[in-house]
Amino acid sequence: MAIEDGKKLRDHGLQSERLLWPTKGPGVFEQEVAAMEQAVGLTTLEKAVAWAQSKSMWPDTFGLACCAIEMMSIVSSRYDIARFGMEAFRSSPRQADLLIVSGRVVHKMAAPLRQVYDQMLEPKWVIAMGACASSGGMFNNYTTLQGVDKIVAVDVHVPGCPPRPEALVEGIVRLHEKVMAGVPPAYEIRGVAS
Amino acid sequence: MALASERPRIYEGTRIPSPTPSVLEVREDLRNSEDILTVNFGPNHPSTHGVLRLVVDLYGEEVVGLAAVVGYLHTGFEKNMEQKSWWKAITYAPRIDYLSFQNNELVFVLAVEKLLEIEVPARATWMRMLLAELNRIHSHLVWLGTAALELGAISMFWYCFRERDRILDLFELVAGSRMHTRYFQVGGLAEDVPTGFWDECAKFVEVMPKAVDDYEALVDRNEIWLERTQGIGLLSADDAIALGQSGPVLRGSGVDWDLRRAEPYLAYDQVDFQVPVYQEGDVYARYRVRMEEMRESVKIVEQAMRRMPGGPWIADDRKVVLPPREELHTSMESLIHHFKIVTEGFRVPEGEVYVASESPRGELGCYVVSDGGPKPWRVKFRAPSFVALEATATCMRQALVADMIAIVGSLDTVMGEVDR
Amino acid sequence: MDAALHLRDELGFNFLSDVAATDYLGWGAKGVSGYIGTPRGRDLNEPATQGHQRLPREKPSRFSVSYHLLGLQAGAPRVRLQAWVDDGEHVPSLVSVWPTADWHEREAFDLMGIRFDGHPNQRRLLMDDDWEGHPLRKDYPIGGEPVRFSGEE
Repeated sequence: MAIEDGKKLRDHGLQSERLLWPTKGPGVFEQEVAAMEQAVGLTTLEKAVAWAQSKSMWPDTFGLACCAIEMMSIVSSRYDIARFGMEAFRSSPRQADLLIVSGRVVHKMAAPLRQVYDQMLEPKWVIAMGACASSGGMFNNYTTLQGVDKIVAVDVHVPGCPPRPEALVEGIVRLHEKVMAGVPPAYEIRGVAS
Repeated sequence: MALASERPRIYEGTRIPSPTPSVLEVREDLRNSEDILTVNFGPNHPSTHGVLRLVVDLYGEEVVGLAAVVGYLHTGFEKNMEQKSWWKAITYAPRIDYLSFQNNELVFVLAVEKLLEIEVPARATWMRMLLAELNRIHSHLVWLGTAALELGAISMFWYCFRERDRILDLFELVAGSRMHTRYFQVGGLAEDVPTGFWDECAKFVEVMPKAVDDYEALVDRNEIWLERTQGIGLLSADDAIALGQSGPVLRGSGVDWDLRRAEPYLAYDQVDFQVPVYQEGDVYARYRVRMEEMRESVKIVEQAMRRMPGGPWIADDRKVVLPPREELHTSMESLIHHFKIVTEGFRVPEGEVYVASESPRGELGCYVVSDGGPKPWRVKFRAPSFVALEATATCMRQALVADMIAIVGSLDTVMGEVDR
Repeated sequence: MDAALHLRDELGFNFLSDVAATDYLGWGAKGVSGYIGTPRGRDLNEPATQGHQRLPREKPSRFSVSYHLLGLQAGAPRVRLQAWVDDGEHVPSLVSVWPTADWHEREAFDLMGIRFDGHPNQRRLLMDDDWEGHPLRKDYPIGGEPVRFSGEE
C-alpha cells in the first residue's frame, strides 16, 4: 500500500488532508484512493490530463430545490469555488463537465434530467447533492425518484438536508482526488441502479 | 375597485387574458402567420427560478403567447404530511418555500396551535417574529442576487450573498442548522435562544442598512437597470386583486395590503414599521418594494431584539409539549407524557383552520384539517408563488423576450412552493 | 355560483386565497388515521382510549372543496365557502368570478379528481400529463420504496 513507504499523501499530490488536524492519519477514503492510484498507474501524460480535468471542472446549472440555494452559496465569496476553477457555471450542458444534481428529482423532471445528462460530453461526472438526490431523502412517495442514481451514474453522493456548503466543497474535493488518482468516471464503472 | 356585478365575467379594462386567465393566446391576426416561433424555456434554464417551464410563442422578439408548465418539483408534501404525526410533519414544511423556510413552519405551527387552542408564551412569539423577519431579509437578498444576475448586474450576486451568509450564521447560532432549521415547535420554540445570539444580532442590525445602501448604490440609478425594469410587466391594481396576488406584487401595483398590518399575527401590532406601496405596477416598483421591505425588516428585528421578553420559550401544556428533561427523572407523569408524545404523538382536536401569514412572497396560508387523531388529515399550503405564476400571462403583454426574464424574476417565484 | 357572486359583489370578498379540496374517505373509521376513540369514553377493553372522546362529526359527502375568501378591507374578514361533492360530481368553476381560481381548480382536479364545469383549461397541472389516478385521494397509496437498511441481511 502506498501508505507504508512513509510518504505523506500530500506528497502524492492529494490535498484533502484536514488542515486543522495535521496529526490525523489518512482516512479510509484517502487510503483507498491511494491504493487505487497505485493500482491504476497513470502515465505522466494521463496524470497531466487528469490534473487539468480536475482543476477546471465546470458545473452545469442544475439547481432544483433547496440544495440549489446552498450550491449558489458555494459560488459566493465565503465558500468560494473559484479557487477550484469552478465558478463558471455553464448553462448549456454541452459545455459542462460536472452535473451537480441539487434537489429533489420527481418523475416529471427525470426525463429532462436524463436529457441534460445525455447532452453532456464525456468525460462527465455527477455529484448527487443532498439527501433527496442521493436517495429520495425524506420523500418516500409516489412522485419522488428515490435517488438520482436510478437514472444517471453518480460519482459522489453528498449527504445533508441541505448539505452545508463546506460539505459540498468536500464532495467536490473528493471528486477531484478521485479524478487525479485515475478513477474513471462513474458511467464507466457502474451503470445506473436497476 | 369597481367590479362588474351584472353577470359573472371579468370586469372591463382588464388585461387578464381570456378565456384562460393564465395562458396568453396568440392574437387572431397572428395566429396563422408563419413568423410565430414556439420556444420552450425548459425546466433546466439558468434564468427561471428553479424548474419552471415556459412555452412561449415569439413573433420576432415580442412574446405573443405564453403558457407556463409546472409540476417539475411536485414532491407530494401534502400526502407525506398526512402520513406522519403532527410533530414530524413540521419537518416537511420548511422545504416547501425553501427561500423563507421558517415562514412555512410558522404558518403550519400557528394553524396547529389554533386548533389546539394553546397559548404561546410571549418570548416565543417575539422570537418567532424576529426569525420571520430575518427570513424575509434572507429571501429578498437571494431574490435580489439572482434577479440582478439574470438582468446582467452580476456582481450584485456576491454582495447579496455576503449578507445572506451573515443571516445564515445567525440561524445556525439559534437553531444549529443554516437552512431548514425546524426551530418552531407547537407551543413555542424548540429550545431557548442561546446566549451570544443577541450580540451577533446587534452586529447584523448595524451592518444591514449600510448593505442595503450599497445595493441601491450599485443598481438603483443605473441606467441599464432602469431601462430594463421601468415600464415592464405592468399589472394594475384590480388585475392583481382579481388574480389573487399578494405581497410585493400587490403592493407594487398600488394596493396597500399587508397581512402583518391588516390581520396582525405574532406581535406585529406591537412593533412600529412601514409598509411600502408603489403605484406603478412594474418590475421597478416591485424591486423598490422589496428593497424597502428589507429596511423595514431590519427595524423590526431591532425592536424585537430590544424588547424581547424573558420567560419560558414554550407552552406549558404537557399533553402537547415535551416536559423538561430534569423532570423526567423525578416525575412519573412527565415520563408518561414524554412517552406518549414521542411515540404516538399528541392529538389535535377535530376541526379545520386556515391561517395566513405574510411571507416574503405574499400570503402564505395553511389549511389544516384534523380528525382528532395524532396525524394530520389534510394539510394544504396556499403558496403565493403559485398564484404569482398565474399572473405571468397578464404581465407579459407587449413584452419582449428579454423582458420576460425580468418579469418572471420580479414575481419572485420559488418552484418548491408552486409545485409542493 | 350565486353565493360566490353575492360574496364577491355585495359583501366585498374580492380576494380568493385558496381552493382546498379534501377527501374524507374513511373519516372517523377506526384505524384509518390512528384515531382510537370510542363514543362512550374510556373503555377498559380498548387500551388506548383516554377519557371522553367523540368520534369526529359526520361529513356530508366524500369531498369538500373549500374556497377561502378574504375581503381586502379593514379587519380582514375571511370566509370559507365549502362545496360538498361525491366522487364524480361536478362543481361549477369560479374562474369567471375570481380569475385566480384557474390554477387552484386545475390542481384540485389533478390531485383529487374533482371536475369543474366551465373551466377553460382543465388539465393536469402538477403531475405528468399522462399520469393515471389522483394522488391526494385517500385510496391512493403513498408509493415510494421500502427502505433498505444497510445492517440487515
